[in-house]
Amino acid sequence: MALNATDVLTDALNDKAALYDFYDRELRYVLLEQERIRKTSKRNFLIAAGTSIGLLLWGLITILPMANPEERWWTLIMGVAIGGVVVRFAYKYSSSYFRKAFKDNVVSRLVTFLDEGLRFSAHGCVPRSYFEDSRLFRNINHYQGEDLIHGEVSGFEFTFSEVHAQREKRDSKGRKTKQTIFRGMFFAVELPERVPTTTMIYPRRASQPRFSREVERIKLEDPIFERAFNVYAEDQVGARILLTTRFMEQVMALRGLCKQTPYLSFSRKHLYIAVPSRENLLEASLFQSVLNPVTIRRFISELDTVLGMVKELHLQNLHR
Amino acid sequence: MPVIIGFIIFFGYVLFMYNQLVGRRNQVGFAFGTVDALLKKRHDLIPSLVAVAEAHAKHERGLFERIAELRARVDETKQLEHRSDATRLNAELDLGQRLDNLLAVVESYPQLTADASFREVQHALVDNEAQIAAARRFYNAAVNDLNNSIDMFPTSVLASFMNLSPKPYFQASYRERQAPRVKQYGRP
Repeated sequence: MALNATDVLTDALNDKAALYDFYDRELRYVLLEQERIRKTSKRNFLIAAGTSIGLLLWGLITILPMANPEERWWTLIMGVAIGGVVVRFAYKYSSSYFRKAFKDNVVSRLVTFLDEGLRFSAHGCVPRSYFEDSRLFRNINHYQGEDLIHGEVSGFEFTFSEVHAQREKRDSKGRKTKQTIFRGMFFAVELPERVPTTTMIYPRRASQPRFSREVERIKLEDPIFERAFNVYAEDQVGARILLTTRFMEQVMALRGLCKQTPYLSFSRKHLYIAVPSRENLLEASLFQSVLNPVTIRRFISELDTVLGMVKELHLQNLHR
Repeated sequence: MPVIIGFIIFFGYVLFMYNQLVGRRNQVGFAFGTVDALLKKRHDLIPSLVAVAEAHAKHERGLFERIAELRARVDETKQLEHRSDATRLNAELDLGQRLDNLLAVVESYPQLTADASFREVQHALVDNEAQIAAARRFYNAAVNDLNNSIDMFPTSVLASFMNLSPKPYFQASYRERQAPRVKQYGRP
């Protein structure tokens, strides 16, 4: 029987017994294997990082007495910087297998347990066509993402993933550089009907693209909403059919939930939600035991936040 | 020279204010036109609703009275086409309330609500009411911008030369002020 995601999430977060029961029944054996992989990966990392830092220290001790006094500081700074890069590389390399295995074996189980209708793919991502269809961000040259979740919340089919979109720029010397346009969580929610007009809702403080003459700024009557967002659409009435006073309140509630001002867009048959975030969700740490229930609670809490964002908008009342 | 520059700046500012006032006046006209088109659509839909409801209301005195009231009100409202905006908007508000009353009463007539043609008209009317509500908000936003310009200095001086007067707001119907009815998006 498909469990209701919200009920289970609430149970799991509030009822310790339910969480431990799920932990015992579904995860214990998988986690024991993951813990073994984690320990091996951690040991590999410590060996690699320790060896690298040891070699670096040996090099510094050898070079520093020979360097000019004025160059010593620079040599030291360079040494620390190289050490940082090496440790970071060693962590990424040593933990990649563990992190992948954890997502494939634990996070996917967790997602399916929360709702049999939900599907998780660690390397999947919301299609780029959706991201472009939202019309929130333009001139995208590089697009990538991870942690795709697909399923249904409150009767609406949705697709979620973390997304990193960049554009290429040339600096004054003609060199190509990448500029981040958006990094964070991106949702595409399928609506049962085509929306009357494409409507884009931007955080007031975010940079906003130049629109064609047909796109107008929609001034809405809710002063709190107006202070937080700028709305643009081609049709003043169509935008207001979507942005009822109640929906505006729910967008404000969503803003409170994600602690960031989200971007939203209605386009064709979709509602798109983009929440900027620097945090990398659903990532296990090499330095925290996966057998610790706190780790699982953190993952459940992150999933709860993701699903809660769609739920918070109460889309069943949209248009009324 | 400074006098000429001062004059050019002053003239430019007056021109800017004038264009702004004309733009706002036209925006109100456009918004009112949108509301008007939707209200006319409502006038066309109500007789269809009345026709279907009447067939079921022959033996229901309460329902019959409300239908008769609504029909009379539609006729009266249609005759106000050349009256002032405020008079028309008040009449439409009253018509909207009577329509809400009828829609609320028919909920207790399962035979009527099960009728496919009634549901079709009802769905069209409910959609149209949502559009009227959105158009009303657009109109009120445009009126608010215009009225502010008319009341505030220095645009108020130019507005008086242009014979612009504040426009009436289109108030929300009683139903719109109530808690929204639960109706599934896209599902009649």
